[in-house]
Amino acid sequence: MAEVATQQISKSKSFKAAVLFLIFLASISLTASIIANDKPLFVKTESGFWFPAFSGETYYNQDLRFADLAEMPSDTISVIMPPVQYAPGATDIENSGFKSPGQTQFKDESGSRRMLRAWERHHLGTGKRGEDILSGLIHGTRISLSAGIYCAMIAGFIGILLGCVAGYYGDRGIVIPRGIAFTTIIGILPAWFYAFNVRTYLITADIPVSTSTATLQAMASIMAFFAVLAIFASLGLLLNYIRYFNNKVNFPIDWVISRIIEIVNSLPRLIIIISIAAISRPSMANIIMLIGLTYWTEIARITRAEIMRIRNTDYIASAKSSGASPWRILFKQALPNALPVISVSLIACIASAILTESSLSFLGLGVPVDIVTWGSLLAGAREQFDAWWLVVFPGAMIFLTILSLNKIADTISSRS
Amino acid sequence: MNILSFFLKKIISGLLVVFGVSALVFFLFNLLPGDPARMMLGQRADVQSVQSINRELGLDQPPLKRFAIYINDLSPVCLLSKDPQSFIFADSAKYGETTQLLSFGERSIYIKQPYLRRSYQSNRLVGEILVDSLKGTFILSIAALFLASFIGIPLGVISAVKKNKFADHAIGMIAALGMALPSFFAAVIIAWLFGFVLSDYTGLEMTGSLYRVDPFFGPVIEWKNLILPSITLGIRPLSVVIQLTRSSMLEVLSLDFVRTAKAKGLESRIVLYRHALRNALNPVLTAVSGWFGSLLAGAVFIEYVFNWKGIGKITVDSLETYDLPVVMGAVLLVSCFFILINIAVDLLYGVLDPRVRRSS
Repeated sequence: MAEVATQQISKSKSFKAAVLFLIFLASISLTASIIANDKPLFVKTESGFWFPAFSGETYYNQDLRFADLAEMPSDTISVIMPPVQYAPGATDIENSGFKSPGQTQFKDESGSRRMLRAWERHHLGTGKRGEDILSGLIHGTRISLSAGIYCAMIAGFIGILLGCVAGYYGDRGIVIPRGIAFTTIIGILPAWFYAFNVRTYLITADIPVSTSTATLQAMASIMAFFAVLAIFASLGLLLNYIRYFNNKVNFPIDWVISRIIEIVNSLPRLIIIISIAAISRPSMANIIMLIGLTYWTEIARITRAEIMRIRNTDYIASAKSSGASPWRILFKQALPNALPVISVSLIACIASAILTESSLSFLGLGVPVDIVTWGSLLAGAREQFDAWWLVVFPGAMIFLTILSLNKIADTISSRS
Repeated sequence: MNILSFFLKKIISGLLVVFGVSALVFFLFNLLPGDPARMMLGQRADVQSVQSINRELGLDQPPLKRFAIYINDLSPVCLLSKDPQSFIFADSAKYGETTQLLSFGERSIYIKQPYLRRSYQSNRLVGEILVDSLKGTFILSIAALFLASFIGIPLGVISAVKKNKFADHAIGMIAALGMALPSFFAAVIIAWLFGFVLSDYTGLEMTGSLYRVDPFFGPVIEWKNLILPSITLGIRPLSVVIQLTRSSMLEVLSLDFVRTAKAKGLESRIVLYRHALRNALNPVLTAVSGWFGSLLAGAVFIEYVFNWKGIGKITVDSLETYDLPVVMGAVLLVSCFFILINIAVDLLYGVLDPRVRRSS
């Protein structure tokens, strides 16, 4: 079956085109600093040779800017520049003020102004400060793809974990002695106190300084919460000697997780992300965390439904009867069979994360100002409505990326 | 399960979700850095006025107590005190008109409107600000949904009837493109094309709100400003409606009753519209009503680009001035709409289809 499905998938032309386009984007984003850079790929002088673009090393005591090529050391023998000779977001005064791709572009060379040669031009035009659009697009690819993939990793981890637990155990799967349930419920308050009340200052003080340390602190808090809960739960074991506490009760894990999903799902994601991004310090990690932590609900819902369906099949029943542990059944039997459906939701998550990231940079929120992204390039057009190249090229990149991701997700979900 | 307990169960779980959302919103926005008193007074404020503002906003209280007061402020049924020194003093400047239900000495239980605090910047009631801007977003969303349904359902039907023919492929292509089009990109392109380049022919402007303030007559409604934003907002729901209508039509068309209707010699048009479409529309209508909630929130970028006064624009504007009560109010309002619509859809399904009641 699987082989037939794979063959059918690979026959679809638009699917092939979508995969090729994504591979193309991935290779661009991996080699961005070689394709578009204002540092030479290779410089040979009489005293030796350098690869400034590869290592980012400084040459001639300063960053070798393209504009400074005229000031190269006199013993330079040969210079090889990258295909696109501009760094993303670098100011080019001669070509500032929205030069269109077809317009004549100039260069100031030791005092005299000359026209740019064909290979030196800003191929897709420039922005307000003369920044090169093509270079911005190339380097923006890396930002967009990595934002999408990291977000999907975070959202996928949370979503798949919660979805698996909710779907596999259901409302009747987790049965615990009443004593443990009793002490755990009592333990929630002290756990909350030690994990969050005592440590609130540590978390809040770190948010404006560094998101990653704040996240670490928050994780430490969550771990402390569960550690205190575990201590209280083990106290509950002592209560087992009393018969009343030895009776078993259900813990409706499915109900709890479904309500959490419902709560997070009914928050307006975009507004929440925008507000927190606007208030906290702009950073890439911040945005990725925010998007990942709000987009897991869809994955969790789909995983839960799929695992629920699989739970009732015969092979799970036989695995159970042969004495396999729940985690073994989940990870060896249920999850691999749910993978096609889950992967579709993961791809959809990548697409919406890319969309959200570029929308945020379009508003000028989230990603630091000096990082050029597709969204921030598009935002430049709001100052000059005539500058169609600022709208069309970044917009087309976002559009094509999401289109191909959607196409891949559609194909997998219709053929598997 | 009878219908009354089904209703009760849904409503109680909905209230629980509303409570969870309020708690999440409160803790999210209280964990954020920043000092509202400093934002209101500027950097050169003296300690005493900062303290008095903090006392006025209740920011000198411990977080859990602040949370309890916040929930008490939001809830329509609340506990208030007659003592002016108390945190829950029944202040008519805050709560407006209140109706007393029960009384225990100093404290009484009242019914009131939810109190969403006051804006840090303009000192207006957040409720008033939101109601003002809600109208714009509401009209925009409804216009977009109408557009999506009236164009999308016929296109979906055509696509299903002409399955695997040219029309189907073309319509499928339109839907796929619409799904992938980023809303802000579409907004910029549409605003530029129809509001700037072709402005002489269309007579439309790039930006504009529902109300134009006329120097003589005050606010005047400008319906033409609705056209471009609603088209832009409608693109994505349109694609969803097309895809859903197509798949649900295909499913219904393969059912027995359609074959029977055809076999007894009914005109194919009547079979299509009177028999098949009616049965196929159910999932589409659910999706459309579900989209309404997300459109209220999703209109942010379109409102921003077209300068349309609505919830999204109010939120972005208030963020720039760190006006947290307005942002919190907007988030809560949109979430509550979303939850309300979901509950309404669930209840409607429960009424229409007894199987739903039994399974839940």
